[in-house]
Amino acid sequence: MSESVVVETRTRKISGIWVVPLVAVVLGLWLAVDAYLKQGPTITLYFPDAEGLQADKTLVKVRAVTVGTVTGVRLADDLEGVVVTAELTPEARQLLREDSQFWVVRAEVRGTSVTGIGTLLSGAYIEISPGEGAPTREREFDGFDRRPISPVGTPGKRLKLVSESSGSVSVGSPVLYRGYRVGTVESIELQVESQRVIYSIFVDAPYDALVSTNARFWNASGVSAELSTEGIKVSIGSLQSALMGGVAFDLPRNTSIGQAVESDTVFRLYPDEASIHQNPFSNSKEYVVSFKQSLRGLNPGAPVTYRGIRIGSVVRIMLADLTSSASTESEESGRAIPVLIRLEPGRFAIEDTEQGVAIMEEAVAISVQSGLRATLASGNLLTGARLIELDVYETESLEELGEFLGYPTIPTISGGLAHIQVQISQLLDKINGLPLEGVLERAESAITELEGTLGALRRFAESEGLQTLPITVQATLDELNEVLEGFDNHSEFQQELIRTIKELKSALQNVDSFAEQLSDKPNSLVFPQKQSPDPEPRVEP
Amino acid sequence: MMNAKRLSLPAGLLCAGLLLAGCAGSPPVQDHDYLLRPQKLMIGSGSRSVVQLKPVAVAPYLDQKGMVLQTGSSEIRVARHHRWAEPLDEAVERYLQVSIANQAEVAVESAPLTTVEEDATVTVRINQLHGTESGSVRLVADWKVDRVGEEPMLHSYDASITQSADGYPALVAAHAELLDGLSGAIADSLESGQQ
Repeated sequence: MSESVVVETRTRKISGIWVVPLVAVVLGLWLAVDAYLKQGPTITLYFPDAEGLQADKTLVKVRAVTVGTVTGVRLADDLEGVVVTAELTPEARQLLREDSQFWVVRAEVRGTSVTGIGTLLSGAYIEISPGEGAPTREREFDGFDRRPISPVGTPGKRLKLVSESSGSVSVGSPVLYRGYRVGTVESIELQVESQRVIYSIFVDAPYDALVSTNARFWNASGVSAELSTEGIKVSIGSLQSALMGGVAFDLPRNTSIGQAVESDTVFRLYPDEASIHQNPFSNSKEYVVSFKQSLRGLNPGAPVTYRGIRIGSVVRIMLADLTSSASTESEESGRAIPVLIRLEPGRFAIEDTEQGVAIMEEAVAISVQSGLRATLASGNLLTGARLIELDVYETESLEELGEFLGYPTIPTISGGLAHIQVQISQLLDKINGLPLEGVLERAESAITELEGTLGALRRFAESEGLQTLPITVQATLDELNEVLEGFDNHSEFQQELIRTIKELKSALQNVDSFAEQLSDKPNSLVFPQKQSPDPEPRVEP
Repeated sequence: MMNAKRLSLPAGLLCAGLLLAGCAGSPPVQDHDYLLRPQKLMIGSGSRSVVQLKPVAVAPYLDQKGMVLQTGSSEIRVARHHRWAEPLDEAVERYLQVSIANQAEVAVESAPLTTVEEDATVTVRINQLHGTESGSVRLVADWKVDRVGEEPMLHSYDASITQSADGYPALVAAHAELLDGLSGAIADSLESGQQ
């Protein structure tokens, strides 16, 4: 048997009237979403002040295109600044990145340039530099009250310069390379801990390639005059650098360009251009030389030369260190004043590396044993500036490098005027040691004998015989001349002599012939011989 | 005294005999002396260039008084009775002095009669100057011309002629004719050197 089960199902019918509110809700949501989607981001900016900013009036621009409007301006809770609320267009959402920058554009006079003139009529506005970072959901940003020197994305390199003082360099001052502006000083900061001034500069591309590891920066502000052992040198920068100050950089003389540097590399800012040439090398070794003579005219930066070639410079005179150090020398002639000098291997034509410093140290140590000594010499007679001269003196006794407060010391000798004084003193000592009395006695005796000899000579010269001697000699010479003239080729005497000789020769020939005749016929002297007639020349028919 | 008287007689006889013997010989041969002189006298120097003639050197066989005849291929005879009146070198020098001056436009001076600085000097050497029995006469000579600032020039002369008649006077005339030829050659060398 089948058993049927009946299930009772109850169904409710929804009234169609609900469609209306449902549609209303959907429309509302759609409108809300649409409104949300069409609404741009609202950002909050923090500025030092709100000068020129007005709610619902001040615009937010990117490259002169309006991308939003300031909706509110109020003081910050800590009263240290203002909080500006701005509503941006939806398209401006992509402008908000991690490194986006915001600043107020107003009329501004900066150095020799004037910017933002148009805001005098239109009012200030907020400029956005989108940056190159990743998009961010952050909606609160710190703004600048003026345009950054180098907005984000500007090609170039940002560098740090360290100086002992700020000088006349200010924000916006130019960075010059051989007089041409290649960048700008962005910021100046005084570090309290190190008591040094840190400059942030930006060198625009493509000039940033000029900055290398060997580059040297100096304060190129205004007019600088340098008085050194080489004379007086006056340097005048550009008009802009004269008004605003500036920073210049270049390579020291005789230096290669070096390797490229990365952004945020730190360089030392030298006080002037001359300083970079005085200190063109990165590696050096400091020595101490001590003098017991006046150091007038010897100033920090003075050259240290070796046989006239500069090999370093004077760092400072260590008078304060002298008083604090223990004396190991006699106080009789006063303590020698130590002078700290810096020798640079690059000036020795050795590599400007730590290895070069080691080579230089070894060379100096060997040279000191061979007689290397330091002297104080005059560098400029006009200004009285002095320098330290190193040279090898063969006569010096053997010495080695010493030590003073951790610095190796190079032996010194008296140089210049003091050296001459010593030499004169030694000369006088030698003169004093000469046996002058004996020499003078012998000289007096010799002079007496010489006087006697001269008197005898005078008497001989004044004698009558010697007085008449020239006359006699002259007469003899005249006679001799006459005799010699008689022997001239053309003289009658010679002709007569030749004729006589010929006759004599003829006579001898006759005698010879007669002798032959007698030899043949001895009676021919008594009985004349019959003479054959001479052969007769006849003309043949 | 008796001995002197005894000796004087034989001595006187001996001398007389000798004298007679001498007188009894052949009569003596007559000697002849000859002069070498040019026919024309020397022309005055004027403004012409001056040449100095150095003393003439003669070959040694000519340096005697007798005239020389060549009797064989290499034999000579010196005449004993036909002689030069003066040394041959001096005679030749005087002859050449006049003859050169006559044939060249120059004034020829010789020592000791020199007046001005000469433009050139001529040195003459006579190597042969003699006749032959056949009447042929030969002169061989050479000379040197020295000019100031120039290399010396050497020349030579060799000529033979036949004398015009027999005898020594014709031989002397032939000598003079040969010396005239030599003077002409020297004059030519002087004039060619001036060009």
